[in-house]
Amino acid sequence: MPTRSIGNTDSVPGNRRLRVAEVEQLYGQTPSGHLGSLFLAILLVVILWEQMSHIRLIAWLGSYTAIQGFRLGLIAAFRGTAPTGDAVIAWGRYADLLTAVAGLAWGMVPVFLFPTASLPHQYLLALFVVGLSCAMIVVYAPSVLASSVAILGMLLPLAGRHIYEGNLLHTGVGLAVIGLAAVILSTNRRIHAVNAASLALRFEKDDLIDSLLTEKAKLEDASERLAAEGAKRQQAETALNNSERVYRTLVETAQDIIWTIDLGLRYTYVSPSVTSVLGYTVEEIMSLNPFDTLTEASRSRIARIYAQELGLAGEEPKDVSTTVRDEMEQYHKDGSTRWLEVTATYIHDSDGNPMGILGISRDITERKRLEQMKTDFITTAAHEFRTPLTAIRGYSELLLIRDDIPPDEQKECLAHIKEQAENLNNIVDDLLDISRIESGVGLPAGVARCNITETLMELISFHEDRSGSHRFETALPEDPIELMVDKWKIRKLFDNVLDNAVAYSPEGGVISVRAERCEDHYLFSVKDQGIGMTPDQSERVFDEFYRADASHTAVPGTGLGMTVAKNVVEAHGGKVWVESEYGKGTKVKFTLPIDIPDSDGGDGADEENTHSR
Amino acid sequence: MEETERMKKILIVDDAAVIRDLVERSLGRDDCEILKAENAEEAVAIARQEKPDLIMMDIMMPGAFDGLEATRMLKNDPQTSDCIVILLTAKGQKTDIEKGIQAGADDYFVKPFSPLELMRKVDDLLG
Repeated sequence: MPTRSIGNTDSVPGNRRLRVAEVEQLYGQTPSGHLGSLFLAILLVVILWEQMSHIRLIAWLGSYTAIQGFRLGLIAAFRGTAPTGDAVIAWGRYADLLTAVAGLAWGMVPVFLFPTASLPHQYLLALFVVGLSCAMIVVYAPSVLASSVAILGMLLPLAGRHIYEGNLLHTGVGLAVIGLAAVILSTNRRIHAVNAASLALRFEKDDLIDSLLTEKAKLEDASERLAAEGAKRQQAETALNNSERVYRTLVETAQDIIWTIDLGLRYTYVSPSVTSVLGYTVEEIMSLNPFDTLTEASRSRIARIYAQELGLAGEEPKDVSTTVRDEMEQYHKDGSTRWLEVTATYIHDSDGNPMGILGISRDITERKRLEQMKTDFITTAAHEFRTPLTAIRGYSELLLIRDDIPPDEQKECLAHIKEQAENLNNIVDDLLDISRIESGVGLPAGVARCNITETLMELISFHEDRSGSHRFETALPEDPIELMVDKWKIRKLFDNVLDNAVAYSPEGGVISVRAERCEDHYLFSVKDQGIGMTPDQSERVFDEFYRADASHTAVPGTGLGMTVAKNVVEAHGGKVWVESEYGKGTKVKFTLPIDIPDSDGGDGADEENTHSR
Repeated sequence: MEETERMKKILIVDDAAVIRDLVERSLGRDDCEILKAENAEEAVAIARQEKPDLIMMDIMMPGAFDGLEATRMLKNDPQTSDCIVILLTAKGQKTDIEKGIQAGADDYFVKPFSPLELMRKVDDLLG
């Protein structure tokens, strides 16, 4: 049964591997053979004991026993050493050598221990030797050379000894033994080949298993790596998701509007804050052209800037890393306008080509309003200072350079100077009041329980005395009004409102002061019979330096009194407004809440005990 | 002969009475008729009626329009375009001065002004 492995003789590593396996087989399966053949040797000696010289028999058995002893010792040494690889092949040579020696030892039997007298013993001897050689081809199949030598060593002397007898019978037996030897040798070869083939099959199987194991290990390794990579990717994905969530939250909770448009000027994203700033829902604004919501003036300016800087409207961008910042006025959904500070920059795709614009729009309406107010305030304040200063400078210079002014006119000039100096002083006082009131957000300090009725009555009698010609009517609750207020500021409030009422009423006019308790606040009103105001004037009455009739210079005042009054009321959480009809008089109304917001509201009774006088 | 009979008229326009009084005293001219207006609308109305020789015009005044607009109106009106208009303006407001000259004003004084200089200027202009 020739196999691929047998044909594979030119492969030295293959042959060596085969040889190694054969040697290992040899050492594994021969011990019982050695003992068996030793037993046969003893049996043979016993059988021949009567036929042959005892010395010869013992000498042979001794020699053979020694040989078998060596062989068993060699096996023990092999097992003890447990050699591997090429080292095994050397051990194979020792075994082969001893096998050949053992075979020759048996070959000595027909030469020196031939029982010439007894034919049966001769046959028995032949049977032993032939049987043993038959056994050898099985046991020593792994080592074809050694077993062949041993078989020839055993059978050729046997055949030779028989032929040596010279008679026909013995010659026939001798020739038969030779024929048998040929058959045994050929069988030996075949068994060896089968063994080698089976070993080769085993190798194939082992190799297959090995490669399967290797593949399995590789697969396991790969799957481990895949799992690790998957975990890593999962981690990265989670990190990306987290970071995306963080940015999304950032964008969607920002008060500024964050938006992107593509190069065709269509919105691609608008953050939800657009609703609180411009009134549009995200869907509504996305359906509009970004320029549609701009006011005319802003639109033309922004279109020009964007065309130049960001290269929209078909022009090439100057620089794709440009960031443009500008202020623009945009329409709220309700038609009013908002000022937005817009910072816009290109967004690029992975190749660095611009693919759109990212912008952040901040509502600066309030800032703009405050800036404008500040500018207006300073301009107006400067103007207000200018008039008394011009008068003071002019009159004093007149008095200095002109000697021809009659004494009574000199006095008039001096009176003007004094009056304008006082006017200046009043303006400064009012400005200080405003800054003091405006610097106090809410009512941080100075809040105490105050008897408003008492304060009001004091002020009314003061104004009545000073005017002399105006009459005051009061309608106040019977119980004194007591509120947690900043007394100094409240005094200023009533003072200014009463002052205005007197200033704008004709002589002999009636000024009525009312107060009534409503659910959670007191409503105050001060009504005069003065010149009244148009709706436009009523609206502007609380503006700084606004005077209902500025040309009506008979009415002194700085134009700041009502501003102060409004600030005081609002600082206390109240509201102030005017009801007026032109030519018929004005009613100033304001509320003061009973529970001042944000006051660290202690127990009312305690406060009263502590602060009431 | 008619000219000597006719008294020269000066219109003083300012929202503050004290300034109007100061300007009048600064001019110190007993030979002129002094007219006064406390806003731009009134100034235009009086100027059209009285055709003054000189107008001392404040710029920043409350009303439908300011002194600049009044100057422009008077200078564009053939009946009043001969009036000499002197602006009284707050210091430093250069754009106002430029606008005033464009509007046709003949000269300007910056507040707080010197009464002496004002008197000399008016004396030069009116003789």
